[in-house]
Amino acid sequence: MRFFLLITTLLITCAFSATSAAKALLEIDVHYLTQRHKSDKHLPVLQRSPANLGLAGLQLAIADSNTTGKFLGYHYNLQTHIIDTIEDLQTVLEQLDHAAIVHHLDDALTTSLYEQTAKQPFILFNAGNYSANLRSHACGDNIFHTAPSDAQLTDALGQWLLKKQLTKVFLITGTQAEDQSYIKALERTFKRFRINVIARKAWTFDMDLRRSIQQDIPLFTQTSRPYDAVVVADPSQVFGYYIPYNTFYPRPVVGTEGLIADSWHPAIEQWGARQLQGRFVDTAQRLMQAQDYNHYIAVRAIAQGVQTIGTLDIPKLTQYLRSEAFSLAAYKGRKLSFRSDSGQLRAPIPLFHARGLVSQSPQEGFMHPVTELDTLGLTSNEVCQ
Amino acid sequence: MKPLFSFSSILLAGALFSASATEWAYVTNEKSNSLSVINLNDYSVIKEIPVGERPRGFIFNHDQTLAYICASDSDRIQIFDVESETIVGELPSGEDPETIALHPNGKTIYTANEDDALLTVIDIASQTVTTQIDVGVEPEGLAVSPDGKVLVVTSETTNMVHWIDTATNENYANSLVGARPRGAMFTQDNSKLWVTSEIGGETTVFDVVTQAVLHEFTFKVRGMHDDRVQPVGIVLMKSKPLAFVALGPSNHVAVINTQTMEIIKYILVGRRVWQLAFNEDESLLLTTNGVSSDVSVINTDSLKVEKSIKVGRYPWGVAVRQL
Repeated sequence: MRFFLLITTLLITCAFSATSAAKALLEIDVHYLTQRHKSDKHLPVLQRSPANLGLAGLQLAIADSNTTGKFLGYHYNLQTHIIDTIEDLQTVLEQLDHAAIVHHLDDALTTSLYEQTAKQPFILFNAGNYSANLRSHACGDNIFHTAPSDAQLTDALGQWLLKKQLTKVFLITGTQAEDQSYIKALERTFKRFRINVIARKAWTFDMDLRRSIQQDIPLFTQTSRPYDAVVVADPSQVFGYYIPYNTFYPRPVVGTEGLIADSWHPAIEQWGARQLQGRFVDTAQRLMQAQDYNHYIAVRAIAQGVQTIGTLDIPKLTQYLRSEAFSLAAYKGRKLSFRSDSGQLRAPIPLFHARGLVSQSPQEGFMHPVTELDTLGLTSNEVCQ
Repeated sequence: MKPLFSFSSILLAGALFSASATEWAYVTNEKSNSLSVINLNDYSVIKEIPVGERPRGFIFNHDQTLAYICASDSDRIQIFDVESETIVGELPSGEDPETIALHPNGKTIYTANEDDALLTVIDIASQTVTTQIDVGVEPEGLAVSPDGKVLVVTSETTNMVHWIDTATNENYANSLVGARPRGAMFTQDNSKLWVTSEIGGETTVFDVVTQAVLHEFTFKVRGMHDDRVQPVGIVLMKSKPLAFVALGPSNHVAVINTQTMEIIKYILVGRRVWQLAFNEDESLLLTTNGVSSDVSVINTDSLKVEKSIKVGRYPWGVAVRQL
């Protein structure tokens, strides 16, 4: 209500020009900081990600926000900066002031970005990095995460395992450095929900070359006691796809293979999602993936904030997005918001297999004093350390 | 309380009178690509008629000889002949028509093209598009004022109500509302507009002349988290000062007294209640419940559900025809 007066005055000013495709009164730049697309030629074609992963989500959000903006006199422009080193980061940051930044950078570059912008009026949206470390260690009012944390994903999975009473699991882990955050998050979830890891093995690629996958995986997954489910922790996607249907005991495979938890999947059609999926396919000529969605949300949050505040006023925007007044409708069936402690986006997490949506966490029965959505991910004791 | 009494006696008389008349309710089933027809005398489903893909919005013409169906995935509005129960023609609708509204003059149809952020104005007689009007992202709810002068459309992702002059087809004002506005309805006297916001969880009442906000409602359903209370469909009763708001996944319909502007009751219906429609004398209110694939029949006197009727998959639109 209190914003309404402001908006009505704004509306009166632009009502006259609204139909004649209003002249843009306010140009707003959204800066996108991203790394060069890493080669994934070593992966099977099916596992490779498109070069514009994430970026396509930003582009659609900019287009959507501009459709709204033409009624209110805003126009958004996307400025993309390729960052490979800390020096690149410095160079770009020196040119910016009072900027809205969406970034998808590795842990080291993200941490450096946080340090370099700590005292400047920037608002930062991590749209691509899932590392729980960034949530538990970085701390600043201007820091937001529209990418889910690994802990949100593993808790979503853990709740489902509990709901299904699949509480004895066999854990298979990857050995790459970038797998570790996800593995740590799984360990935390298992402890939290009392899921027993009855056996655990690391996949090291030193299997007997004379054996095929079909012969090798049953041996690898043979344990002295049977398990209820196999949990695969292979975010790098180098071996996970060997596991389903090859396990020694015929059990479901979950984790980064089989039943997967992530922020988005092309199979989601409810809650108006069909329209978003359709618009995305029309503009990007491919299906919308989780990273595209995470990026899309970042720009939508900025636009929603600007729509309410009236300008890109960084301190006001920061305060508003962290407040209870902010809510975002984003095709998840309920309103999304940011946690005031970590700046993490609160959202339901879908669980899906390759071709369909299976469930959505939080599962029924998981309670929280603030919102059930906070049963997923790091608690307020675990963030901002 | 007094006016309510006299209203109900009129209603009672009406109910007695209409008991002999037969009424059929037509429900579009979004995922079965069909219409379910319900006989309101005994609440039986008498037939299921195949129509275009993903049928959603559904309205009758004035004499109820024809119906217009938004077959969203077929990218067209189908003209359904009620007597022969066949599709007799199509209107050029633009892509993905979702909802539909008929001008009181019966000559013009408006449809919201959800995928293209457009509102299409169609002349029925010549079956041509008069014009297309740029609106916000994912336009949805449509309403024409009873005097035919003002048209509004809500846009779900832009969070706006767009006001359009039907004489000029000019968008003359825009009002921001709560997140994801869905339904819109004018009062009989053309003075007020009611708009529901699904994710914002609000229902807003506007003054039509000034576009000023007169009232805002939020809803509380016992045992339901506020996030699940999502207002979608809305209808205003002519014979009683009551408004009914479908609250989506909270599985309830809110009843509002429009004189005191108080929420007087929440009625439990099927899962993810969506659109609402009265029968002719307003003694019954039908709700389409998407997830449970049924229709709840509410008695508007007792404000209780009389019957749940299983229909096709994901019922969406509903309208009642008198035989």
